[in-house]
Amino acid sequence: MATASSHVPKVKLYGVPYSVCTSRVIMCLLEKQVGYDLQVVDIVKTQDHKKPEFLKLQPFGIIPVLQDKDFSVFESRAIIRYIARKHEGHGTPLYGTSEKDKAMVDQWLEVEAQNYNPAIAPAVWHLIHAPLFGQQGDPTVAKASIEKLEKVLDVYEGVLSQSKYLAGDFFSLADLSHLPFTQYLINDAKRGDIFDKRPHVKEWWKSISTRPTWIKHLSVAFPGKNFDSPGS
Amino acid sequence: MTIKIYGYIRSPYVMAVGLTVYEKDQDFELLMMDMKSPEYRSNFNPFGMVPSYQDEDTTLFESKAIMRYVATKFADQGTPLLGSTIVEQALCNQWLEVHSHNLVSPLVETAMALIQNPPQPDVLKPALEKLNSVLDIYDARLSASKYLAGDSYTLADVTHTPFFHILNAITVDETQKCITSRPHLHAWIQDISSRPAWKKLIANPEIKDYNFRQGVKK
Repeated sequence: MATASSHVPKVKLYGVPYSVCTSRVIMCLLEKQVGYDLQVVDIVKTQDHKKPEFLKLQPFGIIPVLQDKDFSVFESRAIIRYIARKHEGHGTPLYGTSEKDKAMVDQWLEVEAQNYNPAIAPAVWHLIHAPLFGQQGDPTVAKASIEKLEKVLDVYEGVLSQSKYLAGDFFSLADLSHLPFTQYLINDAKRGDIFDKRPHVKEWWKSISTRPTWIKHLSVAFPGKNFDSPGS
Repeated sequence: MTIKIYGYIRSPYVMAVGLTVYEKDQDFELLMMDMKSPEYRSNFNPFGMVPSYQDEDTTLFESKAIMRYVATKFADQGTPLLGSTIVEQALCNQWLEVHSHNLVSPLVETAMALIQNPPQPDVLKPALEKLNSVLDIYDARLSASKYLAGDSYTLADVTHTPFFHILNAITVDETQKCITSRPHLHAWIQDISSRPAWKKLIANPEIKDYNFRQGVKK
């Protein structure tokens, strides 16, 4: 699905729009107004990610992969850094506007990867996605994962009481990176309560999840699906 | 103001930051604080982890964020570490992510299994299988380019150096083979481990005299 307006030639994105990591990249492309053609890699039915043609692109067999002219890059957080850097002068300034801003963005994007992601991913897997892949979710693992996540959110509550977004008073790659998993946990697993009880985290989630780009992505990735109001 | 790094030097994450600083021809002061103390959490790292970094301009945490900052701040000093093109920079970031999400886990699991006394083959075997499959991918990549991001040595290579150093320090025949049976991987590890900045770092007695297998100083 290409975006309507694009200031550069389209890129090719291998993945599926409902995948967390593919969503992360799509959101960045939308914010930077870069058009893309989606190459569907079916990870559920036909297991395309395990086939030789895909493994040539991504030897670990994981989506997404971005192709821009004659080069390709994988790992969603590397892809969004590339897009944000390449299109620095266009769309939302996802790295901020100074070197200091960029350092803070890098720091909080690492926090998302190293602290937030490992805490939220097991919960989303065991509560929502395991059955899609023919497996039984384990509520004990989900519970432990949520407890870990709450400790991370306690730190976020402190940070977000000092600034509107994670890296400062600007929406950045760091905030963006949190959208896909959090959307699943709040809207599908109905665990908005753990965000609601932390007022600054609640406000931050409301702010980032109501961005028109995110709403647009959700309408394309999950056509016809109803989404509760943010934070509920 | 001298660069300050908070942490214990034998942590591979702290080493990666120290190596970055040395590659940029800078120096650092290594300091320790009680990581769990409110003072450390509020001034340096709210997650109570190491490393943290401080210079006259900023305070930062998360090793890869610190490495990127140092490489950018001192861009025109020492070794260029961010790649010479936007493509190399993208691939540098790609392999930094691969390190975090694909390599660290099986490498650490293998290392933990290796230092068990008595040895635990039930734990070592699956860890080694996983590590070997990941190292196959590294070897294939390094058959196509000199360094991970391409022709240039970058932060991607920096971050791997301490991890392979520690694996080598506690290795046994089986894990030696992981490296020596993969010629491109082996050559790359020898290359990145022979750099003057790395040799300077590991001359630090806290690393040189540390028995990684026993977890104590020699």
